[in-house]
Amino acid sequence: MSRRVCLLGVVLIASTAIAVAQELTLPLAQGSVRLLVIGDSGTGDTVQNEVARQMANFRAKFPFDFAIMLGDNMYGSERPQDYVRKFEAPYKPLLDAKVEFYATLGNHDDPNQRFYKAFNLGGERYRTFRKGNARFFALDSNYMDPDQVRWLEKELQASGSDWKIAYFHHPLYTAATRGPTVELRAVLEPLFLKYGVNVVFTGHEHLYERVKPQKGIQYFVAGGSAKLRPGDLQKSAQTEVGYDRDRSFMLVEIAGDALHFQTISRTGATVDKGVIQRQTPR
Amino acid sequence: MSVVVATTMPIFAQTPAKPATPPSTPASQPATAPNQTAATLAEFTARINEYMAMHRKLANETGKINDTKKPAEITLREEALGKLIQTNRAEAKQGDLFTPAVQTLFKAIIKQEYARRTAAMRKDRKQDQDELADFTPIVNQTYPPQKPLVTFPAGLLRALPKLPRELEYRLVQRNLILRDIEANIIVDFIPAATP
Repeated sequence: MSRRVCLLGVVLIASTAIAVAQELTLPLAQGSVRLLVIGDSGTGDTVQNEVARQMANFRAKFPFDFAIMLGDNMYGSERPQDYVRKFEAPYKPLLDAKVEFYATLGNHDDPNQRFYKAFNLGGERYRTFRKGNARFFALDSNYMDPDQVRWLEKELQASGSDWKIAYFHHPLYTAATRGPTVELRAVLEPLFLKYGVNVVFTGHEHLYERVKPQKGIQYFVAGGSAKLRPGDLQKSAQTEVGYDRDRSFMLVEIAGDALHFQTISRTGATVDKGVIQRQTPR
Repeated sequence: MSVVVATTMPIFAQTPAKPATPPSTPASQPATAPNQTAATLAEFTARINEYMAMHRKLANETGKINDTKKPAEITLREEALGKLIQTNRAEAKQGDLFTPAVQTLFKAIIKQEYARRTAAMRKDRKQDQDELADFTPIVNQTYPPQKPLVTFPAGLLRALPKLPRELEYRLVQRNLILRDIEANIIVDFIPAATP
């Protein structure tokens, strides 16, 4: 089984052209899995609200059912009013529409956020859940202890889903100034390869980046949904596309063996789009 | 670069499983006398257990926390538990759990683990600490909510004794902190723990 998934890979067909503002490029295939991807979002400032409004605008055209959060869900204090200002108020239109949020913990998050029902962590620091033909693995990259690694391996091994998607805060690959978390990569990448993880979403770096597939795995950094480090991307040979001029978020649609993505800026412009084709196991 | 890292750091799946009862024996220990190391770890275990007995007693007073839609329940419970612990440990001082012998042992473990690090891994740690430049830990202090919790090195988690799920290790600059997660309290710390 592990050999089978080890041979999985991705083929990427993408376009980097900036599309016309507000244009949806996703196929809206019947029965597809549709989600929103946000990272480093919890500032509670005007910009977070502007980006959130754009998410709501796009949901009118692309009715996603759930969102994954890549950590740093709340910066600074975490008083009850902060939960409102940094999460519940900006995303009220989405919450009202019954969009479910599945959070991970960033380095700015109090681990006690795991008890907040709207973050769907179920009191744990890491979890897995299934949506359609995809299984998601929400990891706590702040504290990758042996228990979590053993849990991850067990869950990956048991997963029968077509798509295996991991998400967490710290990037294993990035061309942002601070660089990747190489120690975490040493722990996680062997498991991802062994058990056929297809796509990895991370945050932490306050920008958008699509890394060229590494050993067959597609990595995205999407940590610019409220915070931004303008001009922080030091584009490298590993970088496929980067965007560090404004905030952004991602829309993802999984339809069969294709994962379509569209990355949208605060103003509604499409800054990246494409499709990842999951290769049939050999 | 990643290949080099992967070959110098064994993956967790290759390490022996640890016992469930915390804290467990470290996966790697420095070259000290086995009896001395065992005695030091037993002492650490006893002090952790003693702390946890107090924590659980006080946690019962504040009530168990479950999944909640109300953020106030999370923050008020954390603060209430934190205050109870601070009051109960009003006389707590650095070294209560990390005794001198434990500090010596842990520093040796950390030094050994850090010696295996690649240059890229060392850079990871240095950059992570940039946001904690002006933070000096104090025993029984609330971990400042405005400060990030810097990611803890996975290799070190494999080497240090396992903790109960209510506690965690953290690094603040060169200090190794023992943090009560549910109460957000710095239980103890080892100054200059990292090389």
